[in-house]
Amino acid sequence: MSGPATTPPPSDRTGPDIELLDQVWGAKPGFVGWLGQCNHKAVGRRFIFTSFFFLMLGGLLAMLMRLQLIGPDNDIMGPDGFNQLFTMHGTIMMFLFVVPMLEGFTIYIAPLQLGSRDMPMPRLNAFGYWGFLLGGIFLLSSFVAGAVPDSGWFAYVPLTGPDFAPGANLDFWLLGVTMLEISGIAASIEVVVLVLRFRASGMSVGRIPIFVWSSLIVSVMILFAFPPLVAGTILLELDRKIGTVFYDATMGGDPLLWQHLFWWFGHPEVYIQLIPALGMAASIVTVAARRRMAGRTAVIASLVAIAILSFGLWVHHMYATGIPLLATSLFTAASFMIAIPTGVIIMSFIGTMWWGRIRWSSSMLYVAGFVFVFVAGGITGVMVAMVPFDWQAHDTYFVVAHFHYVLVGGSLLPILGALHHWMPKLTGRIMSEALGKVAFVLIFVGFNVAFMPQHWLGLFGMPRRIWTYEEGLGWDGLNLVSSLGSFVMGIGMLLFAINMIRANWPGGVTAPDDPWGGDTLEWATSSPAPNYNFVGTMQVASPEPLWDELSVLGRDHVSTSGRTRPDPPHETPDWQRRLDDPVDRLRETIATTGLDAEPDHIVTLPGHSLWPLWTAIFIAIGLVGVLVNSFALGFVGLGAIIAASATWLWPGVE
Amino acid sequence: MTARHRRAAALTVPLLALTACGEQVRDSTTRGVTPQAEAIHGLFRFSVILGTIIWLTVLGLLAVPIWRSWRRRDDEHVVSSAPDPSRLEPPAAEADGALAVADPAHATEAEADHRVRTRLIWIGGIVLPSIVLLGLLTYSSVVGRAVAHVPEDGELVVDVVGHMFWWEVAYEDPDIVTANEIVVPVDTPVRFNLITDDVIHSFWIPRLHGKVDMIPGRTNTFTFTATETGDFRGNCAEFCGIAHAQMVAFVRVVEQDEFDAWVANQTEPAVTGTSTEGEQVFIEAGCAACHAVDGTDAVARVGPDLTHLASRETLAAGIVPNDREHLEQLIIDPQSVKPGIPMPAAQLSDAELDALLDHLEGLE
Repeated sequence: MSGPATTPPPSDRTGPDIELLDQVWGAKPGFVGWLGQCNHKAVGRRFIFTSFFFLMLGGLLAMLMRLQLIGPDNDIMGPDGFNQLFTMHGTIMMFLFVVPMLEGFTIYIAPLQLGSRDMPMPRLNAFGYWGFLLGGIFLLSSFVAGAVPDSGWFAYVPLTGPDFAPGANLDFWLLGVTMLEISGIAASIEVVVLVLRFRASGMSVGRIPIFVWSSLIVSVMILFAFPPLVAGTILLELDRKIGTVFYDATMGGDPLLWQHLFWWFGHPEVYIQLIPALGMAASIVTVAARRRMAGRTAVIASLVAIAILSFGLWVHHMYATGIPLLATSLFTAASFMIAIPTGVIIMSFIGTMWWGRIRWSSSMLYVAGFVFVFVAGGITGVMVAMVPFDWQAHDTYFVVAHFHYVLVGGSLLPILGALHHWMPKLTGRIMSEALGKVAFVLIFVGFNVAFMPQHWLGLFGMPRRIWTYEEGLGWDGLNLVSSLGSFVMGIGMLLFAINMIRANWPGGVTAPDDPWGGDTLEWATSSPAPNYNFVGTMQVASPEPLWDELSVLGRDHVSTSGRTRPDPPHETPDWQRRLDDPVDRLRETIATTGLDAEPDHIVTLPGHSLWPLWTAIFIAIGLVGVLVNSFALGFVGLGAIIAASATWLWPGVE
Repeated sequence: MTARHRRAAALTVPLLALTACGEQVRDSTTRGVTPQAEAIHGLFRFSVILGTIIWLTVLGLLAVPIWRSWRRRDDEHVVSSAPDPSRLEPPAAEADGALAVADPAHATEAEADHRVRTRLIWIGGIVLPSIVLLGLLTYSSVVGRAVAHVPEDGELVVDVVGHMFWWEVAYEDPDIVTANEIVVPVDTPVRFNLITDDVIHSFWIPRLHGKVDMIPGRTNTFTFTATETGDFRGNCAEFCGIAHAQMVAFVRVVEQDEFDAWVANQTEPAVTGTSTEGEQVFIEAGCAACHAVDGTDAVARVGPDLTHLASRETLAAGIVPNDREHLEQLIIDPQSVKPGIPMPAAQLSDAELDALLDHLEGLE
């Protein structure tokens, strides 16, 4: 880092040297360069497209489950296969799709919306991706090893303890999930620093875009929510591997300890999946309705309120465990409270659309679908938060329907909308609107046909996680309808994937820089964003700087739209000019003060490095050591991790 | 089912008759036969109607801008080209007047816009939800207190022990041990003490009461008073391993005199006059390693007690009818009846099998 005073202003300025800038921020050539990339755009894109692959995989597993449940006494598969399917479906969707997808969007879009050139810790960023990828491969390798986790994504003890799950199945799950969590924590630390210190000049706290706000809030949540699960999984792994008895009731342990630790993570996790999606929906609504966000402050305050309240709800997954009624009633009240900030946000969205001339792009359709589906899920959420009703609904298909309405409505649909919305910025291509709308209709209709009947199945006594059911219980017709609906949704997802691939295939439609008339800074640069993001220091005077053009400095340097550059509100101080003239060939960006975002100093960021990849590989090796009960290999992994991270941090090492 | 129940069912489940193609639902939470299940259903009914109204209201609000923008739609639907920034509507004025809008027509619209937004957020987002939720919280708490599992005096006490993958049933007074089918008298308060022998299970009979978990190291209770007779079915509701789907319990609510007769039969020692040869097979083939039959040398309690096996209506934890054919299949190929069942297949000659089946069918 260097202070403002260290660089004398160059006297013979001829304007920014774009070519040099591009070179300095670009990847090294060749495959090694590709592997060693740690720029936020490369990492963000990798997160997004890898997790999209996992989405399709998780969906495929769901189709197989619905195929088995299409009729009574079906025997397409046995209980083994089915138990593995629902375990891996939940695990893949939570840990390998939603969270990494949202992280990917945060990593790619947030620095652009903030006017920064990169994440504050690019190598940690790269490590986050490699940890995610290897954790995912680790989990999926259980299919090859023939020891697929089969105890549910919630992994309740003692079913997952050493006595009842002696195989390696659960070790794959516990170790894989731990690795993914570590990757998630790494990404979060970085997002917090990014949002607090790497903003455009003048982007005071009140002017931070809502999507970035949501990323910040979720990152703080992850820092509080993931460690308990890491702790819980480590305790369980100790029980399994070296014979501790943390969860063994016969030895003075307590199986409910796992449930508390798990849901202390698991409930906020739901909101970790929801909040960034709300941020995405907010971005899309604002742009599609071409209106400023209604009650912007109220929306941000509501997001914060949801985040705080979400840590006080975990017991509502445990109403049936025999916890006294008075205690559980408090959690009913807390669960109800979360409906209020959520209601405020939905009303703000509708208020934003109210007088707007809404452009019905595919992304906006997904947001309308989100309101339809998510509100229904929220209402059934209030219902299952009531202790007596939950005693009936808990662990039935009513709950399955409820949380799919919440998560598909509150996560999947906004994510699909966001892919349409930001694809121009991600890859410079635009997805087909016609195909996009057909896919939306299939996904939306298919989803409702698949999951609406499951409410009734739950009321009719069908529990979750059953691989078969008898004829004559009154469940046959509803299950048939549900399965058919899920296949329609599957076809819709396939169309979406085809649309995405087609757009990015050579010859796809090239996107303009600002196809939707966006309000935030990512639309001020070219599509896809150049290596250096922006020339000059971005300067903003409102939450929607592009609708307020005079406030943007440097916009038309990089825009290809040919507009003339507006007069900057004031002259850029000389010490900032070196950002555009990286004669030292260093990656430099500007750090701003926490509250008012005044330019503070120039930060030099590290570039290309393979050490994050090696560190992730060594972690995986250590985990394999634990998996196969080879503690020697485990210690080799541990030693290598220490050595790799030391090398990574050594000054001057690439 | 009383007229009131029928009305309730008709009110809450109008669509499902349609979707379920008129199928008869065997055990619905909407047809409770205890004051507890009925109270919960009342809460459900109230909240689902209220929730549907709220949902439709939100969708109605969402429909307003959709309809309006549909009516005013123009060439801006072309999205693959960048819109000319000059055609973008200027942002509406914010409350703090951060951005003045010069055009008076726009100013009026912006004012109306601001008014609508404020009302939507305050009334729709805060005031109405708070009122609704407070009301619902009160109702829920009242129902919760009314149906809470509180042991009372003079109730029939039964210990129900979850095993992978069946239910052991032990009456405290009189002393009866049976499995998977729990017989109780009508109009009598009943308490099940829920215990587990291995992993977490959850005991649930939808028409009697909500589910309660069986957790290692704890004893939970499940209390109800049935007001109708009948056979009420329920699955294990907490995933407990490979055969979780086929772990079914029946609660058989009978008239008091029928219950007394059942108790009288169950408390007698096993009637094993039919086949001493079968008894031999039972011991020699290894059945007795897990199963007990009172009055014989078989005393193990690993698997279900078979003392009065023939008096039960189902086998393998409520999944197949108790007849000779299914019994035979269960003995020689248990995995085909219930994949994952811990019971080993017995290797028996035809004669031995016949003798064993005769013996078991005689255990009334």
